[in-house]
Amino acid sequence: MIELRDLSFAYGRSTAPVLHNISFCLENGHVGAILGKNGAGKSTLLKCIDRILRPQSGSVLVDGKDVLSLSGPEMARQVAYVAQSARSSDLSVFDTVLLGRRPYIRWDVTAADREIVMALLAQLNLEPLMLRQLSQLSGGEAQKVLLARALAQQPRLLLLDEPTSNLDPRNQHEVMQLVQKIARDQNICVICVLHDLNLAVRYCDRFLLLKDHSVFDSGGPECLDPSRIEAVYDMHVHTIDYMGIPVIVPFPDVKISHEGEK
Amino acid sequence: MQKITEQLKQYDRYIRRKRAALMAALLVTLLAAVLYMGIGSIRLSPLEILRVFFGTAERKHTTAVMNIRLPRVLAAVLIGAILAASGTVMQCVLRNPLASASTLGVSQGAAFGAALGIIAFGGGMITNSLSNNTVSVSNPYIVTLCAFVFGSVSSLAIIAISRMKRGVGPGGLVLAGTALSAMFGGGSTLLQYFADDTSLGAVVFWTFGNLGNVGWQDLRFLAFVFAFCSLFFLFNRWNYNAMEAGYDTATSLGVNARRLTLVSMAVCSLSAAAAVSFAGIISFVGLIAPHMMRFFVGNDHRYLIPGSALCGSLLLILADAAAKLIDPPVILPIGAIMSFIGGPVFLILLFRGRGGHD
Repeated sequence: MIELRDLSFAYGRSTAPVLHNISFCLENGHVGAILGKNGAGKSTLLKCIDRILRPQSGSVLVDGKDVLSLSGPEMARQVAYVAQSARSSDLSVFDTVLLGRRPYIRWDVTAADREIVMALLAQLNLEPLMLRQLSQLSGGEAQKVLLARALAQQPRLLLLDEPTSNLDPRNQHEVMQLVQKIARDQNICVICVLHDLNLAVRYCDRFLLLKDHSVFDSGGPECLDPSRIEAVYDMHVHTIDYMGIPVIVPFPDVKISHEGEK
Repeated sequence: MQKITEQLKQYDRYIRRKRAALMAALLVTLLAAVLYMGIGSIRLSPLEILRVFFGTAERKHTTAVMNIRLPRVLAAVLIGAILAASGTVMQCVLRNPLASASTLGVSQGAAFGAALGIIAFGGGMITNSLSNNTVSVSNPYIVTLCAFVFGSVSSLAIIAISRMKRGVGPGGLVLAGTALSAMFGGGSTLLQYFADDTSLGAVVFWTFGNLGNVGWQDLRFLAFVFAFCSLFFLFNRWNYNAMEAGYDTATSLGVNARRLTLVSMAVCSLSAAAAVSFAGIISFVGLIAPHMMRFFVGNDHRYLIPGSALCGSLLLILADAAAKLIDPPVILPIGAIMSFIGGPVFLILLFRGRGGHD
C-alpha cells in the first residue's frame, strides 16, 4: 500500500508552490491515475514521489515505510519510474532492461540478474527484439521495454508518466492492459499520469484530481462524474454507457458558466 | 528454462562480439607500439624490438629503445588513454557529444599555466636536441606544475559553472568552455606579448605538443593517474549507462546523478590536466576516440570506456609515428599532426551521423 501525506513542493523558496499538501492512498494490486490540466503539477508529483525532485514537506509511505529517507539504491528497489519522454539509446533491449538491475549490482551482473531480465522479456513478449537497439523500436515496443526495465527493479510502487503518449489507440490499450495485469499479478501499486480520461476510467481503480496545484478530489470511479471533470478541466463533458463501458465525451466548445449552467 | 538458456547464449554471443572488438583494438595498439619503436635514426625490425625486451639485442639498440622510444610510446599510450577515457565520460555526464578536455578549456588553461611557468619562473633556452637545434623548456617541473594548476583551475571553473543554481545546461557548458578557452588564450597572448624571444620560442614549442619531454619519472605519475581514473570510470560504468537514459531515469535507478556528474567531471578534468601538462596541447583525441569506438562497441560504457582508451592510445601512437616519418630527422609537433588528422576524421564522423548522442 502506498500513502502520500501532505506532499508540498516549490521550485524555489520565493516561488509559488507547484504542489500543495497532496495526500493520496492506493492499495496493493491497484492502478491509480493522476488527472488534471496541463501545468497542474501531475508530473512534478510523480518526480517528488520518486525523489527526483525533493519535496519540501510531506512523506511517501510504501507498505508503511517512509521511502524519502532511504539511500538511492534502497529507494530504487522500492519505487520505479518511467519518464514521459525517454531518450533514445543505442543500448540493446536486453541491456536496457538489465539497467533496471542497477540498484542490485555491486561490481557486475549475476546469473540471477540475467535470468530475471530474460523472464521479463518473455513475459512482455519482447524476446524477439532482445538484441535490437531501443532507438530502432516502435513507440509501443519501446514503451514495453521501459516498463520491463522498471519491473526489473522489482519495485513495490511503479510510477508511469503518460505511458500512452505517442502511442496509437491499439498500443494505448495494450500498454494499459499490461499495466493493469502487472499491478494485479505482482500485487504492486501503479500510479500513472494520464490525459486520456477514457483510458483512466477503464483501467484505473482510484483517481487523484489535481486543480490549482492542490487535490480537488480523490477516490474511486465516482470522482469522474461530469461535474467534477468539468470543474477540473473547465470543459463540458457527457458520460455515456456503451455496452457496460463508461465513455466520457468532451464538448470543448460548450461554455460553462460559474453557476454550472451550460 | 531450456528456452531461456538458449536465448542467454544468444546474448552472450552478442557480448562476445564486443569483447572481440576490444581484443582487436588491444592487438592493433600493441602492434602499432612495436612498429613505432622501430622508427627513428636507427631502424629496427619488430624482431629486433622483441630482442631488446628479451635482453639479447645490441647495446645501441637497447639504449635507443629503453631510453628514448619506449618512454615515448608509453607516453603516447597513457596520455592518449587518459584523454580519450576522460572525453568519453565527459560526453556522457554532460550529455554533449562535443565535450572533451580541449573543448571545455582544460587544455587552454594548461597552456596558459605553461606560458606563465616559462615566462615568469622557468624560461626557455636554446638546446641541441638529437635532430636539430631547437628551443626547449629549461625548467620542465615548474612548467608542468603551472600547466597542471591552471588546467585544474579551468576544470574547477567548469565544475562551478555546472553547479550554479541558474545552470547553463549540458550544452551551455561547452559554450562556457569556449569562453574559458578564449579567456586563457587571451592571457597567453598577453604573456607572450611581454616575453623575450627565448621565452616566446619556448612557449610556442610547448604548445606544439611533444611526447619527447616525458621521462620515466613522469610516466610513473601518468600511470598512477591512468590507473586511478580507469578504476573510477569502470566502477561507474553502469551509472554512466544509466545517465545515458536521462537524468530522471538515472536518479530513479538509484544513481546520484548530480554527484556523479560533479565527481566525474573533477576526475576527468584533473586527469586530462595532468596528461596535457606533460605533453602540451593535444586536441581531438578526447573528442574523436569515443565517437570512433561507438562504431564498434556502441554506447555501452562497459565496453566504450576501455575501447576509447585503446583507441586514444592508438591515435597518439599513429600521430607521433606520422610526426616522425613526414620529414625525418625532424620530429613534427604531435599536437599539430593530431589536429590535422582529427579535424577531418571528426567531420567524417559528423556527416555519417554516428555522433552517438542526439
